[in-house]
Amino acid sequence: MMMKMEEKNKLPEEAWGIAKFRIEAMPKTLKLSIGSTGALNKDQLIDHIEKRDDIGKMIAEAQINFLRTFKRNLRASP
Amino acid sequence: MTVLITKPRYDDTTAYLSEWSKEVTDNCKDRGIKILEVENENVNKITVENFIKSQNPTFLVFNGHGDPETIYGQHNKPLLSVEDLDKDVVSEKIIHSFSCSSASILGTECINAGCKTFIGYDNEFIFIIDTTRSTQPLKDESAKPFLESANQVVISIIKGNEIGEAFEMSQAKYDKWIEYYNAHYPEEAPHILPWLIWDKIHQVILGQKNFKVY
Repeated sequence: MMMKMEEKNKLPEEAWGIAKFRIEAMPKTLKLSIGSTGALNKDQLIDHIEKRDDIGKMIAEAQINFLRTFKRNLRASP
Repeated sequence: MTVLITKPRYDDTTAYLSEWSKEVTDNCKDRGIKILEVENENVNKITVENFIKSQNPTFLVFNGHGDPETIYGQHNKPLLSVEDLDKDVVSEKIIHSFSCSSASILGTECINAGCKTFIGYDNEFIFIIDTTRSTQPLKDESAKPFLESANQVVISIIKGNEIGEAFEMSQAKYDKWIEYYNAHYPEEAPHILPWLIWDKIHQVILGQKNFKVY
């Protein structure tokens, strides 16, 4: 059961590449303020994605969630 | 009604939250609401608890960092924590916390300890900073949609809306900004939109909703 839950919550492999690609496109002048971690620049964000740590996972989840929302909106529009 | 606002300031994130709380204090002043602003080094457990116990504010607005079990004050020192939660500090209060993830465990513990309502985030609260504007956070148009949406719940409560209604107004403000960036799609839109959606999803309200503060 636990295994199934983990599999269900696992990010698709391509999510990591998409997240990295999208953060690479971010202007160098922007930073992301992430809670207690502080404000991270583009290079630091990419580093977290490459390490696949908790922050990297959160970035990948947010990017995938955004793309899914975008897709839903496209389908819903006339 | 009395509102207590903590304003720690020791990094970009806390500087932004403190500056943007001006929206809240201005609204309090316009309505003649008493504000207790606790700033910088004074944002520590002893001073804040003393203020709460002696002045008995109804509404506690915590700016600053956090984690699932703790809201931190100046220099990341614990202010309100599951570990040593004082019932007298949170009982009968309405709490708004920007502190990341604090709604997940601390929020529930506050409600169990008699807090009327806890509004916050059950995961990281995230916003974009434009480093070319970071010395003047109120002029940072990239941070604006995040902080304006989050502050909306506090401002709506101060304006006399029901708590649940105020929360919905904040959610609607997120939607307004999401629609704006979807429709206009300026250069920064692809970097702002994922995190506006993220914050909206993770903003939560615990406890009582159907009452007004005054």
